[in-house]
Amino acid sequence: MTTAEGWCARMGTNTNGRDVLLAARGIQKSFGSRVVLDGIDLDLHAGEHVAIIGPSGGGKSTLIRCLNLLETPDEGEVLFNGESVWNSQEPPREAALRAHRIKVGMVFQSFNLFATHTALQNVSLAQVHTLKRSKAEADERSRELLGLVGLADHLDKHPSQLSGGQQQRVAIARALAMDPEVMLFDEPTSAIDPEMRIEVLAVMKDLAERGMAMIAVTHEFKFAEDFADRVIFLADSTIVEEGTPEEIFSNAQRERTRRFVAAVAGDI
Amino acid sequence: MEFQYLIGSLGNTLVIWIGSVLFAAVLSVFVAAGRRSRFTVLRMLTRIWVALVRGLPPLVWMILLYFGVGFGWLGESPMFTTVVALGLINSAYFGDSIYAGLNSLPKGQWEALTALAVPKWQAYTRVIIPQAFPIIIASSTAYSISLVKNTAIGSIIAANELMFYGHNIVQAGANGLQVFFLIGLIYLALTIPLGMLARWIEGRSVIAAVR
Repeated sequence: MTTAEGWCARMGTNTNGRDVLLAARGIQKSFGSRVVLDGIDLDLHAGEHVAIIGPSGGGKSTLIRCLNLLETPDEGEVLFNGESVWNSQEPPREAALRAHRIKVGMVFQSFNLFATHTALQNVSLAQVHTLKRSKAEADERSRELLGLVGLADHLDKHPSQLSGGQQQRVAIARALAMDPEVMLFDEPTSAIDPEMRIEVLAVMKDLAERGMAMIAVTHEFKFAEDFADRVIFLADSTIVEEGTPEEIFSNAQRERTRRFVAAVAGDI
Repeated sequence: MEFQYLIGSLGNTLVIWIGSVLFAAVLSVFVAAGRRSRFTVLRMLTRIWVALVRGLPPLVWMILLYFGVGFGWLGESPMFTTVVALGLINSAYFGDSIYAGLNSLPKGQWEALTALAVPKWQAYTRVIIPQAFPIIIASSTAYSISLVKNTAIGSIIAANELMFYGHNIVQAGANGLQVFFLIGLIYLALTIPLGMLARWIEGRSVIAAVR
């Protein structure tokens, strides 16, 4: 085997030389008789930022939840760094799933902060119980991260005392505290007042600039435009089209994509 | 005179009550765990148990335990048999409270715990139970109060509680109407303050749950 062949054959390497961090192969998912995902393939490369757009009920959330196996697909495979984390042929391995979820951070539409815990405790909890950091070490990291998302003054507040935008930033800090290699965002701003969305989007953009590999399901085209390297349009349980933001938003090849973009942009 | 005699049995009524509440509380943890188990057989067994407990009148349970199971050690003590019977019966109701309390939390709490790979035990002890606890306490307090009244069925197997003492003195010639009126007042003197206590606890747990 020549060096070049060896390089190209290595699992998890794509043509532009960046490693594929997270990959989904042939993901199928139905709820009852309704097919939600019909054979989805997706690669996320190191440092890459992907935005998933599409109509409600098109399978966006289900897809992103399949990527960290919060939702178990009916068929297919999920890989991290070229290694199979889960596939429909084998029984799930709990340890592999847990290791995967530590590396793949998740931010939810509804924040899902722990209601009885303060902002600081929310960020520290899994550091202590999942990563087995000492409480002092965990709290120090939490303070640092909450500072980064602009909440240094709100450490001791409970979720109910924080605005939606603030809660979501705590949730981002909580996910980052696990030192993930990939971050997934499931409509992170949909449940937040429009005015407060900016602060969450700013944190996400900052994170992207630091080189974090990210996938975000979003309805914010303007954000997607300057955040994403690649935009995926998901509709009717399948990837209709993908490309650069420019290609999808201004020069889509498929009629279905153009119709959706025009409708959201308010051109119709 | 009659009143003093009746009051003498009040201690036993309270012993039966507290004993069966504690017994039920311990058992109910297993009932709730069984209902949430990932093993189908265990879930089935718990459901059958709960259906059985709810489907039979408490009186039937009492007599079954006393005469059926209890010709050995259990039948020896009517007090003990009453505590066991009421404890068993209420384990199903308390178990339901715990089960419902745990299920009342938003699904997102579990999703966040799963996404953060927090181990099951810590997920329960650090996040789930602290949130469910006020809800569980509020609903089990109501059951606990109705249990005060249910201690009266101990009298059927001659447990020395309030109702049984009442029977005794009526048999001995006291005025039945007077005696049972008095007994009614004594039960009210127990249940009304307990009801007030329950509402106070409930109010506090609502505040705790909102916080």
